[in-house]
Amino acid sequence: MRKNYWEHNKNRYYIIQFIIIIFFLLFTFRAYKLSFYSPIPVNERDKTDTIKRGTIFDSHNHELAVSRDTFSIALRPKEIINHEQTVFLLSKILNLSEQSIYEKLNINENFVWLKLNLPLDTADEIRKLKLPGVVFEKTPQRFYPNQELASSLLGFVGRDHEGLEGIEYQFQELLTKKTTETHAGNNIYLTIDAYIQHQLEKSLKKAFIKTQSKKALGIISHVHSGKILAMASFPDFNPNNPYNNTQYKNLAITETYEPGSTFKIFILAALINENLLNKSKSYYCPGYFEKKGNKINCSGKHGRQNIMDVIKNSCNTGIIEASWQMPVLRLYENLIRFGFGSKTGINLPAESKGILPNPDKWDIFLKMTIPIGHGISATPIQLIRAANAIGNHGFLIKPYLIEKISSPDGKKIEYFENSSKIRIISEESAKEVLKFMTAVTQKGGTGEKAALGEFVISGKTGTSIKSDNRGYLKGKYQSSFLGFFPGDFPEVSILIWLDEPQGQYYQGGRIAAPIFKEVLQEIITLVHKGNTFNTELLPDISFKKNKYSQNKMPNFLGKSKKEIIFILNEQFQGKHTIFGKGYAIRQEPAPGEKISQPYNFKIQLDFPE
Amino acid sequence: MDFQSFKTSLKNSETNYLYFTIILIITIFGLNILLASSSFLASQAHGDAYYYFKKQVIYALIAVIILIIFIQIPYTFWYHAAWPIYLISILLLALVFLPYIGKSAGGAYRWIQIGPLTLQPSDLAKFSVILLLSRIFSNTQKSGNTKIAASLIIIFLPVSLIGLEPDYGTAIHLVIAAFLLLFLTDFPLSAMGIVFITSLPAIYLSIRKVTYIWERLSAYLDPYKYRYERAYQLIASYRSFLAGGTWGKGLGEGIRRHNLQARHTDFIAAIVAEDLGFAGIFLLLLLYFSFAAYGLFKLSQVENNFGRLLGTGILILFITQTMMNLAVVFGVMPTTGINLPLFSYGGTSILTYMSILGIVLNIMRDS
Repeated sequence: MRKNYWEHNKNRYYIIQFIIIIFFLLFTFRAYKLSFYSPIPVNERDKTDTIKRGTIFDSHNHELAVSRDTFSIALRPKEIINHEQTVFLLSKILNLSEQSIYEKLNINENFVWLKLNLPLDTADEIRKLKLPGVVFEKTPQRFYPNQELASSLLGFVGRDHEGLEGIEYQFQELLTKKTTETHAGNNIYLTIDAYIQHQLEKSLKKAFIKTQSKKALGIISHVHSGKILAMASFPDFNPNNPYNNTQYKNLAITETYEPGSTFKIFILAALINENLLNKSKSYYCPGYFEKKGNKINCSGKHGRQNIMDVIKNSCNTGIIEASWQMPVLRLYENLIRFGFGSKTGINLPAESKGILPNPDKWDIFLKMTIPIGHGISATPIQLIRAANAIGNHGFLIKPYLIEKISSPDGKKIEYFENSSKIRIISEESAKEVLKFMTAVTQKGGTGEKAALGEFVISGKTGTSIKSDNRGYLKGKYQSSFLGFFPGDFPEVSILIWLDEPQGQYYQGGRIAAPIFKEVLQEIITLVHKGNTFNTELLPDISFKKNKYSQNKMPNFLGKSKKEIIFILNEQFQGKHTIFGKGYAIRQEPAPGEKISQPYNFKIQLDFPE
Repeated sequence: MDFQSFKTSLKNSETNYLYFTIILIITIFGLNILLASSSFLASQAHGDAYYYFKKQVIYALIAVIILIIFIQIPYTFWYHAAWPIYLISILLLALVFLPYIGKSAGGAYRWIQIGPLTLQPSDLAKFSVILLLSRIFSNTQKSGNTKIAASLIIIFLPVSLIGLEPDYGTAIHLVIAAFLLLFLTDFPLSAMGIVFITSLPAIYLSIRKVTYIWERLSAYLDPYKYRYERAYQLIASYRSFLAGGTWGKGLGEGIRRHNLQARHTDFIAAIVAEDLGFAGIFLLLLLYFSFAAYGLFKLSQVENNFGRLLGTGILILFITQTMMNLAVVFGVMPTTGINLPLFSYGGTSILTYMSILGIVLNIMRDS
């Protein structure tokens, strides 16, 4: 090699290899230290999170989710010195069988949970024994006093008290973020009304079980503000013990389905709004619609009918024929404006956006199926948003769930209102669509089972055949009813939907419409203010007064202190003792026992295990 | 250089299957951890526990195919491609700042959007710098001032573009890797010292002036003061180690994963710590470091200057990135946003590393 050339210097390679080995040792040492001599201060090790998770309230300040401190107890089997003594003491205090503890000890693990969420005093009792190998972890517990109520909406929390679904997941940061000097997160007030929610769930669950449907869903919303008053999905779960479940989905935002005939109202709205509806024309329905060899069946042979009857009978042939003259692009634009194919942006995780095919994909078949709500898919929340635009006479409004958020000390409150309000159809057009929808619930209409006494109800039924990627499935239906109350000047909209109902009837008018009526009947006093338009809901009257018999002890179990005092003051004045915190777990006299004045009740409150 | 002679010798030589196997073991190990760490997040965010896992398996499969292809490409090809690749990567780094093409996330411009693909040009830039330096120094003529100046420009042009994005972690990584490579050439140590001393004020200023560097640094220095904000991740990581103990809680059993935010990307090693304990972390360290040390030993025997430098440079990129990532998870360095090669979730990263490791394997045939 010549002198002015550099040479491959193997020594430098050795230096770098040496450095790598040194770093390997350093990293190993550091990992060892982190694993066995953790920098986390000893007094911090028990605590997973010292911030108290905020409370979730409904719109009338009823607690839907609250947090409290508990301790969970775990074993490190290899560190236990006196097995017999440890097992004996633990089984005594925790009321567990000795055998079950031994079973846990024999699992070849470093760390086994023994019992979760013990009350503080029990945990203290064990802590005082200073048993080696028995460790504690502070595990705040989330408690849902109403059990299953609004479960799919609220979601639940995991072992570490972190939100895993629903509101709990979406607002994890807000609920746990330390904002002030107090060690607590923000409180969230939902637009949900627990009473309305309860009524919706009650009726829906009954139908869900009776029809043996795969899934069921209901939404109730305020048409002018976009506020969601209730939102329920079945199957549901108990968020206090959610782990045995597999179905946590909030169908209102995750489920996309072919809306079927409920979709006809948006086609109708588009036709009216574009001035393309010939009201004097009559449509002949031979029981099917056929164009260029493509055939769509109708629900019946409707014969000659005007457009009002087409909607009233939910006639496929009629609506397809009426829509036929509308250019594809025009119809597409109208559906886009109604919000189909785009997320509503409601503040919940995992919202789907449905499918609205691009106009260049609309072949002759899609042109026939879209007007009857097939070949497109939408989420229930999209449907409600679009329907509300008709109900409020023309505005597309974002649905929302959060009424306000307050700091833990209540000093800082942030209110949420809807700012965006976009006019998508004219007031006259919307009013006209409502007129058509009113005919649906009249005698002879497909939705006549939704009619409620003298009240004007407007709505539309929907029955769609389910499909998979191979095609439509015979005998599998989805039935729905989408309706407004009051029918001409709506205040609330209600959507009811059942997936694969079994039994004699499967049509939306037969099974979904009655649920609509049943729910409406229960909540009508809460949501109805009379024929004034642009009104807000009535203030706090949701506290439904249950009239109790004066000589039979009512069942207070599970009720909150507030509720109990309310009932006692109203109906059972006397000398009562209420002690403890939380919810009634014991009462004297027992529920149903004979009582007489002067009343003297003893009620013990606690947080149930 | 006589390419013809070692082209023939290449045909006779075998691929180093041991090395190839280690790459596969690391990848499969990584996929397992990724599944354990991401399933919960995936089922929450996408309704499918396997969402990230499936995507990553597809990336990994494509990456292995690319690895096998790259093993077949004679590394002399890269000698000729060095300049074009360098210029393209500089162009791409500049494109990041253009509207419509560049994609910003969290105030940083690090990605380019081409149709459905999101590219991170800094991945290519790191390789292109190593490649071009290898080419320049493969010429064994003693380094003159021109060569020294040229190599500094070659390094600092992309480094400053990456710093502007801003992505300081990657910029620092590239500087460290490039200078380690120069350390193996005749680049004068005195020049390196001068570069270091002159850049000290710039380093100091950027630490004090750029708030987020300062925030991360202060979080690192006093984690408990910032436990709910800046140091949240760090403490969550510490807790993973504490919970994991010697053997861990079992794959997929740990509960801390819910607290870690970048659990399937930058902090994936913390999941190893919790689920597989100190034993798992030791295995991980052993795999990565022996991979690098053994590779460097093999490459030091390569006679061809270009091949030796290129292969070494790639391995240096690999191991320094590994160290920077682990240093963050182990709490010995402030958060940098650098992922763990072959382990973390992300398509570009695994594709890039598999391709360049393919080059290393091709070069090793020559040792």
